[in-house]
Amino acid sequence: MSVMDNLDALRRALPGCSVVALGDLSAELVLCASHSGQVPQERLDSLCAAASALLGAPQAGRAARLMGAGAGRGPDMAVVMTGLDTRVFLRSPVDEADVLCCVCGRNVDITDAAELARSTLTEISAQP
Amino acid sequence: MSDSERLHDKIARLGEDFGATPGGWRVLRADNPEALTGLLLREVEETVLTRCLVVEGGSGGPARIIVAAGRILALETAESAISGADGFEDPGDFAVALASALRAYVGGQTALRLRSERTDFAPGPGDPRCPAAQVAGLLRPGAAGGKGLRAFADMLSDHALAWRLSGNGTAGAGGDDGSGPQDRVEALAAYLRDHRPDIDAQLDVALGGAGRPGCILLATAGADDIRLVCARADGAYLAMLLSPSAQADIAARWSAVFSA
Repeated sequence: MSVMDNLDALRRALPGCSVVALGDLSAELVLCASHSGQVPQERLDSLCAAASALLGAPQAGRAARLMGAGAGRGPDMAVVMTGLDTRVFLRSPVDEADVLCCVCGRNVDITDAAELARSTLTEISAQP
Repeated sequence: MSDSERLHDKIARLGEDFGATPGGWRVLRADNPEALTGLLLREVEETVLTRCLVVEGGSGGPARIIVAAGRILALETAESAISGADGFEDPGDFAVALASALRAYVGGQTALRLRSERTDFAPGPGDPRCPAAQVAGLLRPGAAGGKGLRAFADMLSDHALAWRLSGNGTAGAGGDDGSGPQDRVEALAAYLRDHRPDIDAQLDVALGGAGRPGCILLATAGADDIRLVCARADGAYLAMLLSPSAQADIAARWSAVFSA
């Protein structure tokens, strides 16, 4: 199963999901994406910028300390609720620069979405 | 290995290219016309280059929205043609006219077709350009602000370890509000007080626009299994520590209070 197959499968599995993108946090760059219809590149770029602001910035470290995380630890999952959609960002446990960005329906079950996304990240990371 | 080498290797490993250019039709769907209008305005907000958004499925035929940098320059439907060149004395009047025309165009629909095309539309140097968020604010059914955030916090109270609310309209008798062990409430209050510019910057990037209402949930593996929620609405801010049990349906709870 290719990376794109993984992303397509995840998008189909998540309720109301329009975009699943695999990005690189440090470069703030989307590497590949599965989406319904055409999605402008700037929108994919903004997804990766959001992932970086939530998971990679110093601000994220302060937030993590409030949750009891040790120094140097940032969040590994962020969820953004806009009222129009819900965006789930999940950092890979294997490569800390890898992040999966999912634009889901606004009422998506976060726990289910995170489990599916984590499983997809694990499969992608395991590929040679 | 340098950053560029690392990226090169990663892209080579992925072995996929993908097209992400404007052109094709997309379908916007929502539960109700208000949410559909919100989705359409979100498209406007996320359009950076000067483009014409061609919309089908609303009242009277296609609509054309001229957009640049997340702002509306002009709108043309079968029933009205509105442009910043129309001589609006107050930019707010331009926003009201656009909101009225968009509401009429979307009507009772719950789906629209949309595509983006290039345009040579050139606004005059002094013509108003209306931010999509300003139109969305006019169409939103009542700004919820601190009362909305308090309602959201109350919905999650069974799962909350502590929460702190500050800003516009957050307590009936004035001042801030909060609940939970004192040390945790104070830590949340300090977080909101000391890092407000950073919190705003983070929310602006995450929500795709300055000042937009929205909510973020953060989780860190191994961090006592606590979730941090940070939300903003109309000048009010909420910070909350939650147990993971609140996570599953938090998005539905947020949209119940703050759906566009």
